[in-house]
Amino acid sequence: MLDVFAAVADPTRRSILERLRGEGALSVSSLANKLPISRQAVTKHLDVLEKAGLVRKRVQGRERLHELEARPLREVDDWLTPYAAAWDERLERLRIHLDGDERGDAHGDDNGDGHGDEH
Amino acid sequence: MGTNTKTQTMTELVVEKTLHFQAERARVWTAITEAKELATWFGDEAELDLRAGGDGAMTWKNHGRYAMRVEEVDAPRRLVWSWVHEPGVAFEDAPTTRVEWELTEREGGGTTLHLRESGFLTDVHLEQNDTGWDEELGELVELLAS
Repeated sequence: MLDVFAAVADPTRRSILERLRGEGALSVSSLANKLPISRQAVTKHLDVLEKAGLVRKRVQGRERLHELEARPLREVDDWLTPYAAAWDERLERLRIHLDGDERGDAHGDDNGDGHGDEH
Repeated sequence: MGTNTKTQTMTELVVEKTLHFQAERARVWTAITEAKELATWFGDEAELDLRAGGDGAMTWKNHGRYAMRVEEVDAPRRLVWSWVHEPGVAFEDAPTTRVEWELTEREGGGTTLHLRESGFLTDVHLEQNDTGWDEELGELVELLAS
């Protein structure tokens, strides 16, 4: 199984995933239509995506379609979560720095010192 | 109200946050651009040469110094800088992510900050280059064999 991070690191492959998400199952020619690359290149990218478990092939009538299998992206999402959490902490400190301790909305998730986050 | 997290895992990997402040925009701008202010809420130490192309860094005592470079300054509305993902390396030598800060004035006072960090995982290109080469060499082999 190919690493899902390597699979999504390429912008062309991300745009293929984006189209499969928006438009459902698509054929190679339909994907190649809107991309500035050849059908062969699309096929190669689809192979990579398939090896990473992000795309499945399906035969429908005479067409071979490719559809998104989003589950492995969970791993990428999990990887990104600490970065998002670090911003939550920083921005909360910025808010306290600017507005003081009173909160306009939510309550209760201040942890006092608020230091020691990771980049 | 408060902070919204949006992580897109498709077209681009992005962290997005929106936050409202009671403080007015000029005050928020100062807090996100002046080194002395940044050192109170962001890092333990901060350096920022506030002009496009200017160098900067954010330092945490426990983690080290992360090099930054300013890309856009449009006071008091928009600030963009990029920073490296590992401490102690020069800006040019490491993968970076891009951090965009947008400040808008709110009706009735206060400021909205929209923050967006993008460019994650571009460093995977390093590993990916290897497989890329394999593919290309494979093609060459096919070509020579045909």
